[in-house]
Amino acid sequence: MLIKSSPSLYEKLALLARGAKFDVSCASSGVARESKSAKIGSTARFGICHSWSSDGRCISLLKVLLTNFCINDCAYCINRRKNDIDRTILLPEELAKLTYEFYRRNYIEGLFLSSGIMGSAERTMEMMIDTVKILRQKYGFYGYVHLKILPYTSEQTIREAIKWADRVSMNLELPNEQSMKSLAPEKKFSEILGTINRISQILRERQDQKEGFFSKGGQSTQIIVGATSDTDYEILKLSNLLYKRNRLRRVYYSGYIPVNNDSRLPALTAPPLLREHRLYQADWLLRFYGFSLDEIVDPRNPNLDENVDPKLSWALRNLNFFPVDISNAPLEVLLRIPGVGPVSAKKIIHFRRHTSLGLRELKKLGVVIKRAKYFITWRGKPLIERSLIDSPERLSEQVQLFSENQLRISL
Amino acid sequence: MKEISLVETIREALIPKQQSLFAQTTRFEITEQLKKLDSSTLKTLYFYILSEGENVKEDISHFLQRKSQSREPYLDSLSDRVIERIYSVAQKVRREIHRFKGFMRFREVEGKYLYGAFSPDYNIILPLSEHFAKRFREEKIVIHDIKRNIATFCHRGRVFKAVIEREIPKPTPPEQLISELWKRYFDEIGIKERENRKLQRQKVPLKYRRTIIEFGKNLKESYL
Repeated sequence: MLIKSSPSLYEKLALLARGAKFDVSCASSGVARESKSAKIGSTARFGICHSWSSDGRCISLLKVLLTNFCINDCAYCINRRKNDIDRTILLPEELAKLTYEFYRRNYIEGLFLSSGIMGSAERTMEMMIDTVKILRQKYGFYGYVHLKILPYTSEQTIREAIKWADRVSMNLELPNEQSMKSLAPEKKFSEILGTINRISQILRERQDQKEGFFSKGGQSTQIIVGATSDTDYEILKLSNLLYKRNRLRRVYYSGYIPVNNDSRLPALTAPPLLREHRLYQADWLLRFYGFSLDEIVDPRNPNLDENVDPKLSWALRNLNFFPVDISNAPLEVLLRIPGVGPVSAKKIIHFRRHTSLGLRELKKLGVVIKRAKYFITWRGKPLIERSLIDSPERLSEQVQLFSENQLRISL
Repeated sequence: MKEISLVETIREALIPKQQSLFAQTTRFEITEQLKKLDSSTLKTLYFYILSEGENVKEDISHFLQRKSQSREPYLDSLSDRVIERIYSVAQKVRREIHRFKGFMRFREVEGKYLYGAFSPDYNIILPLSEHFAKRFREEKIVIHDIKRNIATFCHRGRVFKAVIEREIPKPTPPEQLISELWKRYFDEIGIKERENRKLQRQKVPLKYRRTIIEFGKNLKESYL
């Protein structure tokens, strides 16, 4: 067997996992497939996490590089050309076999394949696609596959990648032309954005395709946070555009971790995890809570408040919007209440026609009472002492006291 | 599971077949009552039974009574403690099933069987086996709940109840290599600068770790 005859496989896998770990995407969601023609594998609509690593991040897919050789010299990347590290490659057959063996032991939900660029992007991308084709055809594998699209791949090859994967992604890493010019001189921002555009067009053309894979899980991307002086406004403006125009499924934010010594990069003592967390919260507000970008950040206040989550922050700036009467407010208004999410908002609407809702009931419906209670009434009656609602300054103080400064990160 | 088999499963849990003739009418009535429920409510009752709680029978009878008073029982989950218990416990069972879809670990043993041992809080081996029977159609899978000492055999989309009579066969030659590769990968993929063991403990509770190989100190120990 191929795997047995390769004693250095441990080292190869370790190197190529080390090179891939900074990619934060691990979602195995967005596609539900259970096929009788499959020899092995299925996918679940909401994804399945198989383990959690020492950093508390979920492991769903085998996240690995085909190779850590690279012709590019991006300042922030561990695999940059200049770095003096061991380089290796996993051949398509080896990688397919490894994925298959991991999958049937239920270690993983599928494969996340990225790569450095060896020779040319085109050639490397072809080898990545070969890996997936071996998996799909030889092993009859119907589990989840996420393929990274390398910059400067031809359209024909991109189409082939889309055909065999469940999700594709192309990483922007930086939010504008200027930052990219400075840190990743071989890449051009406008061209990468152009490719993302092209991919979303192809996905749209293919969305009704019944047969095969065709990346029904859509497209995602990643932006590094804290390697440049770019503001949260610039980052979220870009995310907003990608969600609206390109229908991206996810934009991932990756707190910058210094892996190289480079004068162009800031010297950080710790990765900006809190900032990353706030960006995710703001991203959620854009996608699931009906907030518009300028309600969260704008050019005059370009950064998110790290002390208060962005939704509470909006509420404190817009106290005239409150209190909301939960006995009759429509969904989009309920969603504006701090401590109420899409699930609890829907439950409120379901239950309120039949039952009177007080703090006790709301808690059972999943509302975070310590935040929500200042902002709501039931049939005109406040659920806390009247004076707080009548005096915005005191309310603001109270709420700030309760605002979470605890950091939880879970993608 | 299909609705009709859910109805049967729930009925059997309430009134097992071997009970006296006297129970015949009740059996019929209960079947009729259950048939009126939608599939998500049936699933909730089924999962509640899997929790093996003390009051399962009484609670479900109470539930059916409330239902016959033509009110959606779910709405009572805020005011009726029994109904609240049914929904919240069923939710816990549902979560544990989902967790083990990820946490189950198989090892290849002689005869090309995939053997997976686990020790769940609730009696979830059947719904879990259905998942793996469909996912690994061609494989011969043995799933073993070591807490209750019950087992299933899954193959080609079907699930059979099984009894473990002999010792589990030895791992095949590639087994050690593959599992060591996985453990190496697992250690490598964590980012040191972001270490967060507390979050890891929340996500993978210690009680489950014994059967998850990447958390065991060595192969033997993790597999028991």
